[in-house]
Amino acid sequence: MNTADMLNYSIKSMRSRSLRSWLTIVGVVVGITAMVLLVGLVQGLKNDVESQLKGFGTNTIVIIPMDVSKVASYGSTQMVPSSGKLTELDYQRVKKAGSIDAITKILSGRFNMQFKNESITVSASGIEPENYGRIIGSSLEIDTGRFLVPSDHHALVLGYSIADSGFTKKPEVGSDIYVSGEKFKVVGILKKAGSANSLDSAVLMPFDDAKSLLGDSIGPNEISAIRILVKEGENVNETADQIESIMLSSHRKNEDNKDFSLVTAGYISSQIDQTTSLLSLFLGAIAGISLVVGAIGISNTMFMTVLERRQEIGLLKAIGMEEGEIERLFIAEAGVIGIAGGTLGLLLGALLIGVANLLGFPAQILPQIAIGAVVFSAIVGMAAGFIPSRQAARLDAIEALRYE
Amino acid sequence: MTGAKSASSKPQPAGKAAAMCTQAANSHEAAGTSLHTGNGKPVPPGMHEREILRLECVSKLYGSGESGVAAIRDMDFTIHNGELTSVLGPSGSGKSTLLHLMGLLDKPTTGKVYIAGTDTTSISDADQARLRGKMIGFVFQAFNLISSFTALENVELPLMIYDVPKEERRKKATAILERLQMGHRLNHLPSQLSGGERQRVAIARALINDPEIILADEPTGNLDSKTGEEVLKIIEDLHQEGRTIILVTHDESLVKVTEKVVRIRDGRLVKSEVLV
Repeated sequence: MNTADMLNYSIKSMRSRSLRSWLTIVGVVVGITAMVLLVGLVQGLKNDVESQLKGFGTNTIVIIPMDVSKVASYGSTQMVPSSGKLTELDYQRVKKAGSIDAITKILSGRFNMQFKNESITVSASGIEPENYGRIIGSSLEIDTGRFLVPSDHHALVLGYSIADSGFTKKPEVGSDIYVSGEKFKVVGILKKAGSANSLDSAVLMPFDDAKSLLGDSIGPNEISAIRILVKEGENVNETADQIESIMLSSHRKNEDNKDFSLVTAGYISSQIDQTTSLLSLFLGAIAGISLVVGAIGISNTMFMTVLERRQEIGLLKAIGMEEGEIERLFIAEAGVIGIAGGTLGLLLGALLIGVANLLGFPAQILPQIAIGAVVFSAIVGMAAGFIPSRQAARLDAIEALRYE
Repeated sequence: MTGAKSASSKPQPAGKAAAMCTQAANSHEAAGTSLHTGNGKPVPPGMHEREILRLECVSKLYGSGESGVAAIRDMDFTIHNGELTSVLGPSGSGKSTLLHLMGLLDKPTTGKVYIAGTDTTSISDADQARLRGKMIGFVFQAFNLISSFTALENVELPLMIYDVPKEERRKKATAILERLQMGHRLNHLPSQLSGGERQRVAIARALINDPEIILADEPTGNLDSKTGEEVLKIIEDLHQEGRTIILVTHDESLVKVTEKVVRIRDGRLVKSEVLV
């Protein structure tokens, strides 16, 4: 019997027991819907984070005074013990590494900012204007005014959201803002970089200003971060390795007790991948369990079908159908249940993903997941129908025909 | 009904069957010919000379050793091309077992079953299934139609197994159903058909592969007497066309349409006689 006839036969048989068939299909639908939806949510989350990462720049390396690989085991950045400090010395040493296009030291802190009669607390960074501008590159766009220049003193560049909604009255280029009591002039306001981009909430000032504002609250040569732009065409990872060894010898540390991290776009996305794939695995397991229940439902239905259709099986044998073919016929029927459940589950899952998007969750459905869901459910169906089908094929024709 | 007379053997005393069988087993030819030329009349050319089914010293035992029960013991007979034979026996006589053996649904414990000259006892299950599909058409008491298939699809089913293209098998099935006055019921489901109509569909299904033998197991058993007569008429017509038909029944009244009867009791052949 050819495949088309087999499928036709299966569908007709299922239709004649439609309630049970549908209930069995629903069992599969639940599992596939859960799978499609949960994987879609994780995928959407991942895409969202990755699009935020784009602003980071693929050629950028940032050195921060903390081993971020230990963050996961301590729960939060604050709890990681023995956070080290970055110093001017580190900066000078790293500067000598090859393949570096531009490098800047960054000194960040939380400051009180007062505009008119209103004051807020913000995190601001002292930077080296020329180098910083070169590293951040095209994503740094000025809306009004200009960016910082090396000769600036007590000057500020405000991110879009700080300027737009930080204060009740919007500061403009030329406005005076008091930072920790010292008078600064706003020289530029950045264009909106995007909802997720940290540049929107940035407050930038010359490095020396930040250093004098922080005064004794930090070590004499302490800096917060070093930001590096790797030369175009150079391997970022190799450069990172080189810088890492410079840093290790500078800090007299080794891999296990290091007190700093090199953050690259690749590193961040690998961290995100790790987190999301763990999440995928967990959610996938939940979906998998419901799919197993669906598969048991298929097995159950097929056992019942074989029992009910003994006479029919006897007839098929009488008219010359071979055992293998009878087995395939019933496996096809189980497969059809699986495919029906998979397809409906996929549609329902896609619908729920649409709803999630409307509600603001960035869920997504990938074509390979869609195809995979249907193929997988077909395989699950056929596997679940394997033993019942074998039983059907092995039925004694005489017994089967006698059964009434 | 010319030539029918030639198709049988001498009446055999039941008690001697075993002894005769042992002898016959040593010589297939002897067993075949002795039955065939029983009344000494010549066989008309083109009719009945071809052996379709031969049981040779067939026994079917259930269980083993002393406690074993023989459902069929030392059965020997030959069916020739174009014969309409009835296998008659009360319930428990072993006629169902005999039907299964003749229909290749079962294998004998000892002895051999030949279909169109092929020894079917030594072939594989798959080959047996293939041979069964090609050579034998079954008609059952309970019709055994597939409830989710239309009349037409039920008739097509055997061709479906052999991958006959859809148009071809549809054409063939339609023609057969039309011949059995079922042309107006092609797309009806079995549940929408009367008992007689269902049996017509079942007969059409048995005919679709143009089998060597049609094995009908109590084909009128589930029908009222009027419908039963109609079905019997169809069987007679098929016989007139030259079909080889074996009618397995306990109903003495069906014997009247057949030209030869094989009477069995307690698993033994009691009498094989020519009626016409």
